[in-house]
Amino acid sequence: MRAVNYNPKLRLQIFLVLIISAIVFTIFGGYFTRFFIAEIAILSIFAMSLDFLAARGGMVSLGHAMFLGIGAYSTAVLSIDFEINLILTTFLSLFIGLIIGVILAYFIVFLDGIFFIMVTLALGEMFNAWVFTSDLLGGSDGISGIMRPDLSNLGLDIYNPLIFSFYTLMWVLFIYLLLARITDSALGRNLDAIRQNINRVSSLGGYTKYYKIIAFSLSSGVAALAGSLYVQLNGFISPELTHWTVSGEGLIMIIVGGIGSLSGAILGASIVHIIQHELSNIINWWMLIIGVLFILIVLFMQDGLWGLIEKIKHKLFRINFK
Amino acid sequence: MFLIQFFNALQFSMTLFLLAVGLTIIFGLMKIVNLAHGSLYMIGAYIGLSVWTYSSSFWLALLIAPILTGLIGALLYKVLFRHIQTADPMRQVLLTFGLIYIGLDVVRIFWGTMSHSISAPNLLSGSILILGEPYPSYRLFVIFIGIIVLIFLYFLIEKTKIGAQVRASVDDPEMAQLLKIDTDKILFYMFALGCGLAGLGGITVAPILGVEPGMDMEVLVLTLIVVVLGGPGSLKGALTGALIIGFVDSFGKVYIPQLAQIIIYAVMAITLLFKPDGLYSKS
Repeated sequence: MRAVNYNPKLRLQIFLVLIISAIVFTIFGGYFTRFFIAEIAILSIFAMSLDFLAARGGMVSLGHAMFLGIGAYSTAVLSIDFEINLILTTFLSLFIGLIIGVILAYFIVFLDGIFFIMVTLALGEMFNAWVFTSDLLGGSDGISGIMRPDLSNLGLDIYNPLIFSFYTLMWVLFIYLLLARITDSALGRNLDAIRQNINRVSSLGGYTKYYKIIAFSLSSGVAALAGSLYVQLNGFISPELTHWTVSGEGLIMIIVGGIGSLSGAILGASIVHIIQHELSNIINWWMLIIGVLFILIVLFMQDGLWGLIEKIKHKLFRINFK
Repeated sequence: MFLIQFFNALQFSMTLFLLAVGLTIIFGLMKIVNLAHGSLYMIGAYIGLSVWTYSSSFWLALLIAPILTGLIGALLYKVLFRHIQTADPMRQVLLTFGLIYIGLDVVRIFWGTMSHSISAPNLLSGSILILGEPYPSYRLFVIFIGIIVLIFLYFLIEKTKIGAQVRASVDDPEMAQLLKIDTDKILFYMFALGCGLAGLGGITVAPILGVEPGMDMEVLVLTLIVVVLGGPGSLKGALTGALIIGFVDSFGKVYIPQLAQIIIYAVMAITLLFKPDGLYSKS
């Protein structure tokens, strides 16, 4: 895979623009806007997990919706059947995603390119098939009646959309800072090196499998967190969430936003979700338009919207310079 | 009972083979996994449905559906696939993912969201006695078509000059080009052939399973598993994979219905653990 976007300054700038506009919309928006922002925030976390995996880890997964499902079902089962506090459950879901990620990664990280894509797809579909037949997880009906974490100690009502929206945005901020920090760290540099030339890294004495496992499990944990937040938002989980097309849609988001740039993933998640939501209201054949639009972006805009912004910024800078 | 299951499994295997063989040829030549292969199968079934509705001849539908699907494939190759051959795997896969969206909506716009059924031609609508048990003759016909395609492809690939050129392009495209083999043309015809076979698969199962939106997704994942299991790019692999998955799925659904779906994936996972490149890998 060729070198991917890396520009910490622009990354932070775009992130700030996005998060500030989200906060503004949340404060001044109505009920539906706030719900919408929370949805986008959760999708952004999922997109960031895929972005980190694809861009830094060099692994493209079509089965990542499985981890959304793992997070979502863990939250449902732990909070309903075991009556564990929901804040703790959120962290536990992340942790469960992380652990399952380590175990799976151990068997699959050595695969490359198209084989990795196909195997993750098959694993995801296997999980999907299992969920559909599992009595414990409610089969095709899913599980409903999941609560949101109780923040009344802080004097906050989590069922107020304003509060919940800020709660999800807080998670976005946390995950962004975490993944950005890791991208800039030695671990991130190692991952970049492995992606560009894995043989060279191993001959220099780097234990490549170890780094790839870390990248995969980290991304799995983050995806599981997104799943956990998703059930907290909706109060129910249906097995459709774990279908492989959900992973595909997540990858579409990062391609639209610009792969490798974290804040591009957030931008992509926002744009794709807004287009899906708005187009499906106006036009009956919105899927056709999204499909065509998406193919055009894959063909002609290699770096997505991020690349466009970078180009515009570059041009403006040159004009000012003269 | 067992015999009927056996033939059902064989029929399902042949349908999977028709799909998988196109996908595997395309992968072998271009190293691209076409996620829209299932969409072509669905479109083949719908084209067949229209031809059948207007002409009320199943045989005409059986002839026209694969040809038109092949032409759609040819168009897709010229417009899209030719240009993404050197892109990284993620872009290729996602481009074909975008095609799934388009396929779904095209079907919805032209044919609506209702599910339709096609009836088998009179000649094949009855059943045949096999060892004393009646078995629908149409399903036998599907098995027959699968075998015909298998023989045709075997001779095409192994015994003709074009086949030799195809094999050369799979093994070493650069060397093939040096030998004045027009690999682009080979790719073009093989891509169209693969898509046409998907269309053939669609129209042949239409009298059994019906024609409905969403039929693409059901079959796509199974086809991908067949290809990965058999070893992408291998004709023999596609046949073996199709037989394994077809039989495991059909018998699994009868004897252990709860685990049937999971067993298929387990078979694939275990195979890949021992042979990471599939049963008949080139490398």
